[in-house]
This record gives sequence, structure tokens and C-alpha cells, in this order.
Amino acid sequence: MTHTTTTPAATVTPGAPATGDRHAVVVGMHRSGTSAVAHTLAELGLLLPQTSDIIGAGPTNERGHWEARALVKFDEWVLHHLGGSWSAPPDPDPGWEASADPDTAALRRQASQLAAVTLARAPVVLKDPRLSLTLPLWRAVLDHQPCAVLVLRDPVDVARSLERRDGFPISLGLAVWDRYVRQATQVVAGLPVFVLPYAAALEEPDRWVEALADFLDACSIRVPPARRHRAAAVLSPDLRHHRADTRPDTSLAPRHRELLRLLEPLAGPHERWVPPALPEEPVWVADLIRLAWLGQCAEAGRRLAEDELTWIGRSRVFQAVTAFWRATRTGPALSPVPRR
Amino acid sequence: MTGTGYVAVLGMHRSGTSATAGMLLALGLAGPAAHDLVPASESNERGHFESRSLAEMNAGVLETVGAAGYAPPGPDDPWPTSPAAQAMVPEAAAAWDRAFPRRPAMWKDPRLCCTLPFWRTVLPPPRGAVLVVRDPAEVARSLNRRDGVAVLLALAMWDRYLRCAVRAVDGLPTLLLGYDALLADPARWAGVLGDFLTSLGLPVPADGPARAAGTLDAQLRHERSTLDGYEAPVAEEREVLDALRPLAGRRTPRWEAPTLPGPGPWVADMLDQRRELERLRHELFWVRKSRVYKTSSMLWRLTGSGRPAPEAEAAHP
Repeated sequence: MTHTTTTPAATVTPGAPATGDRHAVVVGMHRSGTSAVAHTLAELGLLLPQTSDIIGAGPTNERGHWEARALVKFDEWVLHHLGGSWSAPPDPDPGWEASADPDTAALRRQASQLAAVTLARAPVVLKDPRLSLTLPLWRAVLDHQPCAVLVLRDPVDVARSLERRDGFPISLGLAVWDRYVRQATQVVAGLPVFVLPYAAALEEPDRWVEALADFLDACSIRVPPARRHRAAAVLSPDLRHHRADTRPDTSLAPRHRELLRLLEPLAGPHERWVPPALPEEPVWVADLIRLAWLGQCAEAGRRLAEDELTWIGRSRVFQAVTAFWRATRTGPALSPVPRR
Repeated sequence: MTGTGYVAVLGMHRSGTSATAGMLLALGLAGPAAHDLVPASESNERGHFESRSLAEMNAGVLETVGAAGYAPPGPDDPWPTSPAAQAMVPEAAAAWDRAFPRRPAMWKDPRLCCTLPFWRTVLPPPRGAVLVVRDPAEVARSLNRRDGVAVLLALAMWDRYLRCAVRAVDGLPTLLLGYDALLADPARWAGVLGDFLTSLGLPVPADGPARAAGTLDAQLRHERSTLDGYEAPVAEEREVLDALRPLAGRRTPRWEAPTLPGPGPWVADMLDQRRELERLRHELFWVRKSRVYKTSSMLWRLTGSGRPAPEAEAAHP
């Protein structure tokens, strides 16, 4: 069987695919190298989700995102359900995915249906940074528990990258990093996990890809030997655009880096992941994320109201009534809608 | 007491500006017109001594230039001389005259930290200024308790208000007061305040300092300076406070803004986010308030001619 491309932007070298019964999930914060790692796993022979909408390259991710749009949209919907978004990640109670409330039950059904279509053939590489929060829901519906690759990158590097791409304030980028990484260490509890420090992997791609392939083997995902060398070529140092030493630090960064320092020694394979004991989330993380979420809610409300106005203006009833008012001069004065 | 002009009382919210205002009234300055006073509240049982109309004017001026009390512009922002702000000058001058029928007046409003530069284009310069500072952790906790403001945002506001205030009083006779010290020794600081007014050429009644000291008691200090988890940002802000401490109690005939340690990047991050939130809420308010929206929504509901609720779109990062 030939492992084929899905879009021109997400091209995988043709060849024999990997085999196995379980999927591999890639978790970690946005802008942490999860796309490059997903690409590497695809080069190692793992399949992409069976869908035509793999998100391709863009100006901010020149080699593709390696995500299925349908799964990303669903994960974002799950985050909304939990009271957040990708950029204002929620902090759900443990066990939320098993809740009997009708909304969560509906999400489980939808996840199950999506999995039946897009993850029918194993082994698939399932990548979406949101999985750092939503994985419990997927684990509840998958037939086989996946293995996981947890990608780590310096929080200041990540915050800088988000600042450049999305105009994120640095402090918010650090806070979001913190929450994703903490959650990621929890959602993979009990799974075979490979902790991959992104910066180190870019320095020594051969060594890390070899270790990753060995990990997959240990997880009963057999990688064709010929693919190992090719996969290492994906991880090149030019992928690392934002280095932590290029800017003066914010005073909040040291607390976030403490978390990285605790996790980095865990780099490499773990047969069965036990979440490490971590210090409490810095208290300002919730302050920053809540403010971001309020802003997003206000933005959504404004868009919705303006959207409603557009649709109302197009309605024939409205046009007829206002025409009547104008002709008869019987209607109210219609003030203009302030615009930005 | 007779005379003209006013003494401005500046300081971040929850910093003791009301207590200081009460002392200045006891020392003989006139407050706002009685009908215009912000009434006492649970969070300020002895009264705010603040003009409601001018507080609203200050909020309005900030709103006009796209800012808010929760997200004030930086001290270098030239907004006070912008056309939008200057268009409000006649209205502001008239409002001030109405608010202070008796003078010399005591004008206290924490927003003055940000808006005094604007008022200096509206009115003759104040006779003097009293700048009150309080520990950032105590202020942040108090604001968090009273208004639910996120602690990090409250700390950022403390930073911005203080930086704006030390620039706003540039060139004015200024007295800096520490709220802690004020409460620890009211008699001494009432004397210092009285001497300050005298140095401005304002007569102080003989029993003024004693009456001023009697307006304070240590119960006023509700919040103690612990703020678990926020040690890093609080330490940064306390460095700013430490830079100001040596100036406390010293009468400065012509204030020059001291050099303060630079703000942490998180200060602007928090305030910019909050400002964006204010902008969005403001837009949403006006869209919903517009007659087009109200009328058409009514028609839509009556006729069912609208469209179904839009599908939520997940934005891809």
C-alpha cells in the first residue's frame, strides 16, 4: 500500500506505511513544534486522518499544520463547551468528559462519529494542540488507547511566536503556554508517552527521531526501517524562528520556566506516564486568560449583533416596512449604526 | 476661607484619597456642591468627597479618547491635546464651575491621575496637588474585593495610575503622602497637610489640623499587604513605591517627576487587553442601542423574517 499525499501542502514521501492498532496523538502548546512532530510521524509512516481537509501550509506554518480541519473545529467546540477557546484555554474539572449532562453526552456521541470516519484505519497521527485539553473526550470514545508525544518548547519562544502571529500580549502567551502544558501532562496519564523537547530535537534530529521510532515500535506501531532517516530531515534548525535569548525577559517568565525545567528531565520514552508533581499554576494565569476570554465573548457578541443587522437589513419585510415609512413619513427616525 | 482655584487630590483608587480629601475639608477647603456628591457606600463608609458630575466627565473624557478608568492611557500618550479631547473643553469648564460653587476647592478623584493633564488645558493650574500612595498589594486586594477586578489587572492599574500621576503634577507645588504613614500618625500628617496649604497661601483654621486628624482612625486600613502567589509582580511594583518613599512628606514647590524603575511588560499587556475589551463592549452597546437595531429586531421577532442563529465558527489559530 502506498502512503499518499492529502494536499500539496501536506506532502509525505511515498512508501510503505507503518502498521499497528493504535493511534499516536501529538499534544503540546501551539507554536511548540507540534506540526513538525506530526509531519515527522507522518514521514515515519503513520497515516493522516481519513479526511480531505488536512490544513495545509500558511504564512505562519510553511510546512503545513498536519491537522484535520473537522477535528480542529470539533475540538474548538469542545473548548467552548468548557468555557474557553484555543487562546483562552479553560481549566476543566478532572473527569469532565464522563459527565452525564446532555451536552457532554452529545459531545461524546459526536466524537465517536467523527472517530469512526476519520480514524477508522490505524495507526493515525492525530495532532491538534487543543488535544492538550480535549484528549480525555477522545480517550473515552477510542477503541484502543493511543500513545502520545508531548512536545515541549521554551515558553518565551512560544509567547514571542504568538505575539508575531496573532498579536498576543507576551504575558498572555506565557499564561496560555502554562495552562496547555500543565493540562497536557494530565491528559496523557496512563498512556505510553514520549516527551520531546523541541529545541533539542532540532539540534539532533537523527538521535531524537530514532528514539521516537523506537518508542513507536514499543507501542506496537511498526515503522518501516527505510523511513527513519527520511523522517529526521523534517526537523531542521531553520524551523526554530524565535529563540528565547532574543528579547529581554518579562518578570513573569521565570515562574513559567520553572515548569519547563521540571519537565525537561523527563524527556524520552515512558512506558506508562505518571503525571509528575508540579507546583500550583501561577495565580496570574487565570487573570490573564479570563480577561482574554471576556474579550473574545465581547467580540463574538459584537459580531453577532452586526451580523443580525446585516441579515435584518436584507429581509424583504424590513425593506418593505421601511419603504412604507419613508413614503408615508410615519416611521421612527433610524439612527445610523456606529462602525469601527 | 476665601480665594480661588483648587487643590487636586490624586492617587490610585483604594489608596486613601477619600481619607485625604476628608482631612483637607476639615482644614478649610470647600468640597463639591452637596447635590453633586457621590454618596457614601459600603466600600467607603465615610464618603467619597467626590463630585459625581466630574467623575462622569472624567470617565467620558477617557472614553472619548478610547480609554477607560480600568485601562488608562500611558503617561506619554498625547491624548489631552487631541482634537477629540479638546472638543470637550467648553463642556468640561462649565461642569467644573457647576460642581465647585465655593472655592478654594478640594477636588478629589482618582481618575485625575490620568485626566489632570487634560484639566490643565481647561482650567488655570491647581494651587497645589496632594498625591497619595498606598502599597500595591493592599490596593489590588481591595479593588479585587470591591469590584472583582483581577488582581494582576489591579496591579497594572496601580502602576499606570501612579506613573501618570507623578507626571500629571509636573511643575505644581505637590505634597506626597503615604497612606500607611497617614494612618499611623494622623496628627502629624494633619499638621503636614495644614502647613502645605499655608505654603500655598491658603488660610487654615486654628483647629483645622486637630479636626483633620480626628477624621481618621486605623480602622480605615481594611486590607493587609499579603497577596499570595503574586509575589513577582508585587515585588516589581514595590520597587516603584520604594522610589517614591523618600519624597513622602516633603513639600515640593515645583514638582519634578522622579525616575521610576520601568514597568514590567505585563502591565501594558493587561491594560491593552482590558482596553480592547472596553472598546468591544462599547461597540456592542451602541449597536444594540441603535434604533435600526431595536426597530429591526422587533420587526424580526414579530414577522419571523430573520435568519436562523449563525453557526459558530471555530477560528483556526
